[in-house]
Amino acid sequence: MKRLNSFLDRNLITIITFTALLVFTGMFVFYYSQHATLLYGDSRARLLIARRVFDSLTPGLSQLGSVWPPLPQILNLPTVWNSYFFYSGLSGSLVSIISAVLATYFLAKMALEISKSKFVTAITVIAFVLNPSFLYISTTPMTESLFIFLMVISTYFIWKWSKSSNIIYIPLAGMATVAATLTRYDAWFFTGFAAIFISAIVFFKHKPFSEIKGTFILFSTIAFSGIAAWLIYNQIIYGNMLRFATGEGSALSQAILKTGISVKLTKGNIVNSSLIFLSASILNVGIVSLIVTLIATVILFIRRNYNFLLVLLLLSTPLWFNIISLFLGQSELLTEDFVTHGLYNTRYGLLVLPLTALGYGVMASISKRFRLAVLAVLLFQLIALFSSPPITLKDATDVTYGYASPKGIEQQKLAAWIQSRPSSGLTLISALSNDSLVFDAHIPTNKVVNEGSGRYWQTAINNPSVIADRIIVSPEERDSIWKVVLEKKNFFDDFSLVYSGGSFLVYDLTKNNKLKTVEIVPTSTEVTPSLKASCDYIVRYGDCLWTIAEAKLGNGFYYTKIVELNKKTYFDFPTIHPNQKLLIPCP
Amino acid sequence: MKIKKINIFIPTSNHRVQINDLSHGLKTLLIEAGVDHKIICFDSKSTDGTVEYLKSIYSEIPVEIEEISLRNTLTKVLRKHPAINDSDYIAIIDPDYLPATTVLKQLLDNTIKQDILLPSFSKGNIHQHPGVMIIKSGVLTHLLEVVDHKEKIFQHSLIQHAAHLGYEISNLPVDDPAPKTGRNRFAKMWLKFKLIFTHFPPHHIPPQNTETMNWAGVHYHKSRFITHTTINHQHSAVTTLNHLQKFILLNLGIILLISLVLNWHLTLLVLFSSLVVLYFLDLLFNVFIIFRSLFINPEIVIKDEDVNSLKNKELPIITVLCPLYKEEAVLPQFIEAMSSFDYPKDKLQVLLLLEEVDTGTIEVAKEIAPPFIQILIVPNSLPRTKPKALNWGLGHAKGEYIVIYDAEDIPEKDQLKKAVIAFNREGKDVFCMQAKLNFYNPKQNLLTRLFTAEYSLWFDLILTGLYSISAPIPLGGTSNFFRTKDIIKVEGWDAFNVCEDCDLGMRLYKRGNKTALFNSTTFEEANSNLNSWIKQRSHWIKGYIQGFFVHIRSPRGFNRSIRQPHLFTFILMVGGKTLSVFINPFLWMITLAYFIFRPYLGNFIESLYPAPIFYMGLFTLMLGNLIYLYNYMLGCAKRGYWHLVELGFLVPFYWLMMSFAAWKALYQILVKPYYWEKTTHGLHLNKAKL
Repeated sequence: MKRLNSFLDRNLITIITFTALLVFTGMFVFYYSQHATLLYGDSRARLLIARRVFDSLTPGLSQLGSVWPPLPQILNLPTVWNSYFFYSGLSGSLVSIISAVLATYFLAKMALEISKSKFVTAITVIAFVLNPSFLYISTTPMTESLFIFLMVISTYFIWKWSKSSNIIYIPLAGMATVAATLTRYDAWFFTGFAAIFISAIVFFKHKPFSEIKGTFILFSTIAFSGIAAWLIYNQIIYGNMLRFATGEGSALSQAILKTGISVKLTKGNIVNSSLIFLSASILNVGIVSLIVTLIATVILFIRRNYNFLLVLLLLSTPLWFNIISLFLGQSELLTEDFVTHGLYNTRYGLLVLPLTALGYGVMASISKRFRLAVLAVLLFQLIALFSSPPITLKDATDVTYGYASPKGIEQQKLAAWIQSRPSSGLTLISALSNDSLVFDAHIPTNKVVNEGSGRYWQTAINNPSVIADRIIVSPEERDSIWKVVLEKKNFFDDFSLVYSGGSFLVYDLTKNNKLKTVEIVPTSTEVTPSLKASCDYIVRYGDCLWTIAEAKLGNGFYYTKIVELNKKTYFDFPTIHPNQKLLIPCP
Repeated sequence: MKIKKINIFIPTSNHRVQINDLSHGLKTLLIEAGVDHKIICFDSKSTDGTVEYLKSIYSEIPVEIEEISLRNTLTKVLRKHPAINDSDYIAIIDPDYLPATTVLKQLLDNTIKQDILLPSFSKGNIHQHPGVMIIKSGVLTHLLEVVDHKEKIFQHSLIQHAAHLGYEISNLPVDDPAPKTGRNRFAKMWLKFKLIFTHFPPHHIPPQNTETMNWAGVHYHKSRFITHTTINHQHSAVTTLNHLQKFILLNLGIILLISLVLNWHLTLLVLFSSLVVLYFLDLLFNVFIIFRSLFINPEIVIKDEDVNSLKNKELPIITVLCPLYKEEAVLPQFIEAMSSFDYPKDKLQVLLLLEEVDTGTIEVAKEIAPPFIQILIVPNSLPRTKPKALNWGLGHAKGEYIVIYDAEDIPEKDQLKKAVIAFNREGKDVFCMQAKLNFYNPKQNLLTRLFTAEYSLWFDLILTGLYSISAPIPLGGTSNFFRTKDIIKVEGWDAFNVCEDCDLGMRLYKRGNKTALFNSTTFEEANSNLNSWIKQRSHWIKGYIQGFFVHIRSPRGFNRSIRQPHLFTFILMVGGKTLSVFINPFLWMITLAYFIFRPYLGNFIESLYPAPIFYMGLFTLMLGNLIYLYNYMLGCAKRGYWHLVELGFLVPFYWLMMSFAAWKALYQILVKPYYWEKTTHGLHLNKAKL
């Protein structure tokens, strides 16, 4: 027994790390065999971004674009050039798995160094590693795992610094924070929080003002450099410093375009914001975990155990960030419990996992007598969580917005269609709306023209027939190409509709390929309006075909019907003017 | 010094008549004067029986005869002749000059300090044929090495070369008539002309006695330098570049020019790419060093208890060397600092090294120096540098240990004791204990603040980091402690290197010795005046350039083992650091131009960097500059100068000033390589008075 004890003393962290490695790798093998690692559209889009750095019409680091912070894509670069790593998603999954293992390592190290108790360390690690939500998402090429890792080491270094006063930990924490700010925008909030936090620690150590200021500068110079670099990059490449936040195609505008539901509820309403995020957290880590963490924090506060409190406070930043972000209307989050419209971005709730995992640890460290009870509570919570599929998986496959949504299913159908009829030339498709389709349909990335293709894109927008052999649009999303399709004169001289399914339209160049036939794939849920009964409509200022179809027929997609009805009288190409009289199908 | 022993050389050729008188005259003269002597005739092709005659009178007058065969020349024979070395002085007499004996007598009556003594005739000058000359044997050996052995006008040629090489020639006025001139006028002019364009290798002057290195020196470049050290010129900055280096640099220049003409674009591309790689490596190395330094904290820490438990009886004698030049303003402060040392005064030998010409400081020093401070006048000689003064001081040091302080230094009071403990604690292979340097006037103005930030980084992070990987350490100019016997073993300081500290650090490393840092600080005066700062900086950069070229001559010395490839460290720390100061402003300009004139120049500049290099360069430039700047902040934080941390953001301006100083240094190294830009000290005192 003594031997075992001393062996564990020496090797606990190593054992934990190897176990974590085995668990996460095993989970990857499992989910990979279920074809479940690439269900998130974002994950596929991220792989594409990385791939295009090597393999596109205009390769280079500028392909990293401005929608997402670049680090996850950069970490994919070493493997993504390889088609197997790319299409299997392995290049992204590897980053996630390694991040999860390293996060476990540092969390265990931190728990052990603070509590000096193997039991506390073990319980923290169990709560962290055996969370089903985390287990799933750390097998996918998403960024949560990486972000959690970076947040944990940043916290670890800040704690180390506060303990040892060795200034080397300040730049180390700064670097981890920079990496985090280049991974998710959540970290921007973390950075500010950490900077204030560090200054506060110096203040509470009764140091002179110059040292508070000096320490603040020492941390901030590094920690904020990632943010500064990202702003400068946006300014230099796109001429708009805030493009990632406000520009067309920014993550927010995309999200609001897709659902636009929760933002109405949460903007300016702190209660709703908190409730939505808490419910998302509960779905990910369980309600018991949150309660345990809350109790642990209160006890720490009463006992003035600042070591653990410091760490818990730092790890709680995702909570505050997400609530504030919802409150400001800067984020979209749906949980089926709270709003009945399905799941969207529910995975954000997972970011509190390091906090709640340590919460169990703290609880166990508070009293030796109750620590087995804490373990029992944890196991109970885990069993509850494991009794249904992980929420992150449900989020990915949600029937309204995820993989299993109508659009998701249509996309899979179209992908299969494209794979059976690949275009020999270039395909014009919007990266902002339909990037994951490029991945699903295995369209070679160097045969795709999109917003990031520089002069190819410019030419294609002005004169599509010069560049593109095939155009894929989804008018429902108002992507950046559909206007071209509608408003170019003589567009239909050059292109003809070859595929129409759900919200996707595919046009092929007719000059070379006259024999193409149109395949209309009707979607089961929709009733096509009859063409025979037609009503009059007077065009008003600001109208376009899409908005008319949407307002009168309930779906913008039906603008094609308007075009068909008016073809003979008005246009070979559909342009409209105010006060023009149009025939539309009667609603 | 009166001459006790002399060898007399007489070159003859058909001089039977003249030699008869001469040999008799000489014998009488030398025996009367009581000078130990030997007379040797070097006879070439005499047909009138000169040789036979001399042989016949040998029992009466012992004149040795050396016959010069047809193939040989006088110079060649002399080079190998043993008689050159068995006496300190040699007289060379032309047998055609009839009053030779009387002239020689007048010369011998004088005290000889110079290298060559000549008679000066009423109308004469040194270009005249001397007839009689006295020359030191060492000088003659050197001259014989450099003189063309085919030269016909032997004595004249010797004198011309001696003058050219910077030997002291003195003319003693004599009453006798001058020898006939007019012979070989053209040959003399031709010789003079030739000498203008000839360049002789450095020639060492041996020390006066074997115990110290005092009065050792080197002849080079028309001057005589008394350096008080016997360092071989190959390991000294007396020549900035040796022949091989000149050859290589010249060739590189030619290759660069040719390739620029053939394909300027590719050339620039290769040039820029290699620069980027160099910068990138330097960046990585710097980060590595600083992380190590902060993680390991490698300096030797001596606690106060250890200092207090030392007994005075056990303390060794320490010699403090303080070279001064026109620094009377800070002298009182220095004396105060020395007096307040926590060290028994009877075990302290403080040597103020004052230049002979610096009468102002000498006077002040004599007035105010307490008895335990000894004033040592450094005899006037070229080069007038700090290391030369140190070498002179070394010759007079009595302590077991030696330490160097500048006049404006204020060391911590327990520094000497700490150094002694540190030496005892570390092994014999630690030759140098370096205390850390910092400034006592950081708050004076912005410049002193930035300077303080730089020193904090250099001494508290970089040097300790270098020590932790046992790399060669460029010493700081002051507060370095040595065992006296060790420093004599490495032959003191290179008097020609204006950064003798950096040079010594490298020399120590190559000999397999270590430099360690310990936890004591000496406070110096930070330069508060921009002009003066630029002078000081260009002086340092000049020293680094000299040091780089001196030590790269024997690169193998740096690589002790495969695990310690410190040639790389040396090239980065001394060469790379210096080079980057020169080219930084141009790279910044290119970058600025890239961003400002991107529509016009963007494509061109991008075309100079292949994609991976472009990204590497962008990374080094953006992140690298941030990291370099951040290092200054870390240095300040490590020192506890928290109020200076924010100044890190102003460091780029400091770098610009460094680059300015660097270009000034390059100009100087080409124009006046050993010129010592003296830094004015005591500016902080003026301020205090105001």
